[in-house]
Amino acid sequence: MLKVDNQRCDLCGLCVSVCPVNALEMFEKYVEVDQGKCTACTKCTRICPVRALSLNEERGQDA
Amino acid sequence: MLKDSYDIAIVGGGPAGLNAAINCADDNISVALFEKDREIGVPVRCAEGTSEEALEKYAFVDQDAICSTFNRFKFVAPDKKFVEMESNSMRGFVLDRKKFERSMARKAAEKGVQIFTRAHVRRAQDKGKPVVKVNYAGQDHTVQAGLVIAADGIESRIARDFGIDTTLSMRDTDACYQMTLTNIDVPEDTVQFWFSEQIAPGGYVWIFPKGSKTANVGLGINGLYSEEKLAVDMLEEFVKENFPETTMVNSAAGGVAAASSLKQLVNDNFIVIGDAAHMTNALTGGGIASALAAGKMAGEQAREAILAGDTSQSMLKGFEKEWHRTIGKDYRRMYRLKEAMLKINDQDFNKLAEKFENTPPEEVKISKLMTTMLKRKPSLIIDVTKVFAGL
Repeated sequence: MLKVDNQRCDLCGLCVSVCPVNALEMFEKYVEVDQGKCTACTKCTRICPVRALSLNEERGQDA
Repeated sequence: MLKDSYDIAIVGGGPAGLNAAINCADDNISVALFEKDREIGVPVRCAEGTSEEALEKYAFVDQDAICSTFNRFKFVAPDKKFVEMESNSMRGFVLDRKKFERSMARKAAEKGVQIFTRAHVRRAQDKGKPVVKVNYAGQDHTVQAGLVIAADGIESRIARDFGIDTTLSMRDTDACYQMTLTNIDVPEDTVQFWFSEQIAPGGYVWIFPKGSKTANVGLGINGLYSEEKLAVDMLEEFVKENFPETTMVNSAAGGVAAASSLKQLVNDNFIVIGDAAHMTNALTGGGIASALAAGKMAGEQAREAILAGDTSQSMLKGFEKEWHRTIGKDYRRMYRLKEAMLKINDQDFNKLAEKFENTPPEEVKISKLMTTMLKRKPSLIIDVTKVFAGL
């Protein structure tokens, strides 16, 4: 499951730009994850300049 | 007051959206601009440098928004040897983006544009029609529009509503972090680029002086390497080592689309511009000039379409063609050079700096630097030659 650490997140929007399934959306003060769409592909966790996103092992399909 | 319908709805209040607004509004055309943040001009996620030529050509320049003027470029190799280049035809400004965008907003307002901040557009299309669903002042509103211009930045989702895929590949994305440092001792007329695989793999460090012993210092790491190297950590390390006496007054994460601009920029009732359309110079990461240019072109096109009562894709194609014939073409070349640069290693950069170390800055040319750098990669020389020959 993808998690956003709102303390670390700087709201730059990069994660949204690389998400291939439109699972992330930027709001004024946070990034929202649509867990139903997320495929745990790890692109967002790899691109984030401040490592604010992480995946835990509970669920991960077609990675 | 938010109305129920507008001729043109613009999503995003950065340089692209604001310049589109300025260029499409008048007494006969109603325009609304929606900005998700609470203020126009902030937060600044940008090195703030742009070319004098582009500013004068595409936008209204508020002199108050210019922090410094540069015509010198310093390229620092991993071993700290460097090449300096001076060019009066490549003069540029470092802007105060907040002041710059505020002055653009003022100009847009004078033309009758209604600007809404804290206005988050969730969707802009309903059953093929341009319908803006916006959360403004804590309430959901539905606004009809004749045409939508998406200028909502790298995190854009609006274009996806209109069937245009804006997803960036990792290879075409740079993860960035920038600090505004004060008490920094760097010449005001020089922008600096430092290269090092250790610090900024696939990218570089930039230093853009803002005057008063202040500068934007940032770095970008290509998406292929951003998992091992974290931009924020690398920048902290760089500053500690090279500018230990400075103090940070601002910092921000950010991203650059090191891509070639999107091929499809229009659909029925829809135009996408700026970072949202990946209109960034892939080699330099610069995007202000292209945002302003696209804003102007798109604004004029939108205006023409509304006045003609035809906002179909074939009508709006005029803008797409104009973009790809002009800046889009230049940016496709820059993309090829970026691809070439990804193959250059630290040793290549060191050799290059060594070779040009004693050349006077006014005799150093970008084309010469590039061809020399790629000498040991003969397959790439053709690309560089094509870029500078304008092919």
